[in-house]
Amino acid sequence: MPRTEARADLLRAGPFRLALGFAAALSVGMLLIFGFIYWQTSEAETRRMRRDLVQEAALAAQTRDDILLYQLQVRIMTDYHRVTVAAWFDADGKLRYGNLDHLPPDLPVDDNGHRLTVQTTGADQPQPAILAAARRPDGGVVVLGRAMDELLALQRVVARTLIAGLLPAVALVLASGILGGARARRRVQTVEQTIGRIMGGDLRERLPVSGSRDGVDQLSARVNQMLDRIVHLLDEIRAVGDNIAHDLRTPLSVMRAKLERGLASSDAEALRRGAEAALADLDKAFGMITALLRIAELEDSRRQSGFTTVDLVEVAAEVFDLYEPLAEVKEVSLTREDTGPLFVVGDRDLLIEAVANLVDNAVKFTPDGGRIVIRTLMRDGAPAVQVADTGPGIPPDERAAVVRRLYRLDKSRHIQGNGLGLSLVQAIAGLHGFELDIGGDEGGAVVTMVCGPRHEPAQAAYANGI
Amino acid sequence: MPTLDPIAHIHLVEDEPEMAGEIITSLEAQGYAVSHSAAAAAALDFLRAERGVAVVVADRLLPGGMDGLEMVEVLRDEGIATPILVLSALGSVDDRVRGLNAGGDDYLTKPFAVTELVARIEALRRRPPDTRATTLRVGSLEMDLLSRTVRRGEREVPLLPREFKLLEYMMRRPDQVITPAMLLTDVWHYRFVPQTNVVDVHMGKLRHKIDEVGDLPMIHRVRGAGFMLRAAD
Repeated sequence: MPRTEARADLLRAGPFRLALGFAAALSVGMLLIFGFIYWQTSEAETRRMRRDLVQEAALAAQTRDDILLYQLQVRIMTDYHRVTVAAWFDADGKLRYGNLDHLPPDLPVDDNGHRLTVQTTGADQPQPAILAAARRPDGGVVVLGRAMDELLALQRVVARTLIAGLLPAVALVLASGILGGARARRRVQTVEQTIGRIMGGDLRERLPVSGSRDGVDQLSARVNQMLDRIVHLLDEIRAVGDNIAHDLRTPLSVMRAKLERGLASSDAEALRRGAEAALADLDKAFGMITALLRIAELEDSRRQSGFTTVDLVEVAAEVFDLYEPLAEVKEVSLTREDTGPLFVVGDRDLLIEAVANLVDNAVKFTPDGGRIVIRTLMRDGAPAVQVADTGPGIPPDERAAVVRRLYRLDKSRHIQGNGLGLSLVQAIAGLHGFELDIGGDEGGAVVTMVCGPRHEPAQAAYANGI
Repeated sequence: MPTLDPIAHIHLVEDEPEMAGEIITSLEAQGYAVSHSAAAAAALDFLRAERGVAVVVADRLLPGGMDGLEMVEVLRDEGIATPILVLSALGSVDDRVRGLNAGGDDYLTKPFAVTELVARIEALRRRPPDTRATTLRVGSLEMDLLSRTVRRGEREVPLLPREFKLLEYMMRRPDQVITPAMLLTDVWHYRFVPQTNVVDVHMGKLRHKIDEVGDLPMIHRVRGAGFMLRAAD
């Protein structure tokens, strides 16, 4: 990466920007504090001095000569720092007593404080001072003042302190910002490069996690989890793709054989029969594709807006009504067992479709003379609908697999069907947040859809907003 | 399965040339006169000028910014009441498409059997006016919609509620091929097609009740398509 671009990146990096902000805030804060101190020391102090001097001068102007003289003497003699200005002039301007040679020409005698530069007799150079002059009844003038040396020195100290404190602080903040920014930039770069590799097709790659548990780390961990899930889904899709290819290949090759045989035959009737049989196979293949798309549609669907209150007993009755004649023809007894209305929130049509698929399966797999029961019941505190049959049952180790798309038990391969019934039921249950429980034994399968909240870790985590 | 009436004019709106060719050939073989346009705009122009069209068959997905459903809306807004059968692509039967069924039009998902297409076209052509008659009659078969009783000649036919609804649907559409899919959507109001042939079994039971031993059959199986109710004489 070129240097200029790196610098631009650094400026964009979050920590550096934060540091800049901190530095600015710190500078403003310190300027405010020192500004206040400066203002306090210079302005307020000057004003106080000025006020005092004006008062004292006015007072001195009214004081008796001998006392005034004494007071001025005390003032000058106790002034070890040589900051006091005190002088008493005659009406004609001659110095009676004090440390000024003459009345400063630009000092108006107006009972007000003024800022002038004067040189006292003891000093080797003029210095800024605040002076107040007051006229005595005899026409004389009393000048009182105070040099501002001290004040100016204090102001200089304050300014120096400000600079001495502010500069290192700002430098420190900026330095840490640069360091932090560079570090964050390095981590972002690593993440970026990793994502680039992942997007390039290497889905096994994972983002680095430093273990510091900071924001970037947590984000990386979540992205890694997401990648795990994507890989899992992709594997599943790949498996489904293989299964589809395999399961479509079967009816297609049968169809091909039938057509070929029909064409090879000189008998027009044989050709017609072959074409008809091939058409039936084609419909089977289409049926499979339709069912797959339907499952995909259900799994994609997050839409639960069409949900209403549905009575499971009514759902069971609908399906019973639909399948009763078929069971009769197959000489299978189909019965219902209900205790009373069981209301759940869901899509009525989809629930009927789910239960119909369960009964469809049961009718297919139950041998003549067998029994099928559609039951509505309470299970684990939730309403449930159950279909039990006296068919061959589903072995426990294959129960997780049967809800997968296109999974068919080997021993059921000869029975008509596309192997999508239970995965469709699972998809409908999943859309509702219902649990599908496959049980039973060699004496028959018992499939229960528990229409209550499903406790799945991923969903629980989702609900907690992680 | 030849159509009974004088040649009915079907207008097909389908952009896929091969698919259009197949449908046209099949429909012409059934005795229909078929015209064709490849986009909704052309179809609208044609239908505005030509009012003798019996049924419009339109693909849902059409090029040129207007799909089949929008075309239906435009036609209805313009007061053209020709029944429309929308062909929707596999797996995309949404509520909008389903709404057609309620609005007097119909939909069919691809892929479909030609027999199904013809049955739907015939159903649209002869869609019965919603009469207020309380009695339906087909030959010697009589259905009283108020007392919910059915007689064939002198004999009363005891029917379960579902069988009654099935028969009512068929009696409103005599001499017409009714497919299992039509029964599932219109009588059962299901959006899905069960894997096993449950409808056939229901119809078998109904047929046993209507056509007893010795009667001339009224409910006929139409090979590869569905069922038909016809007067026995």
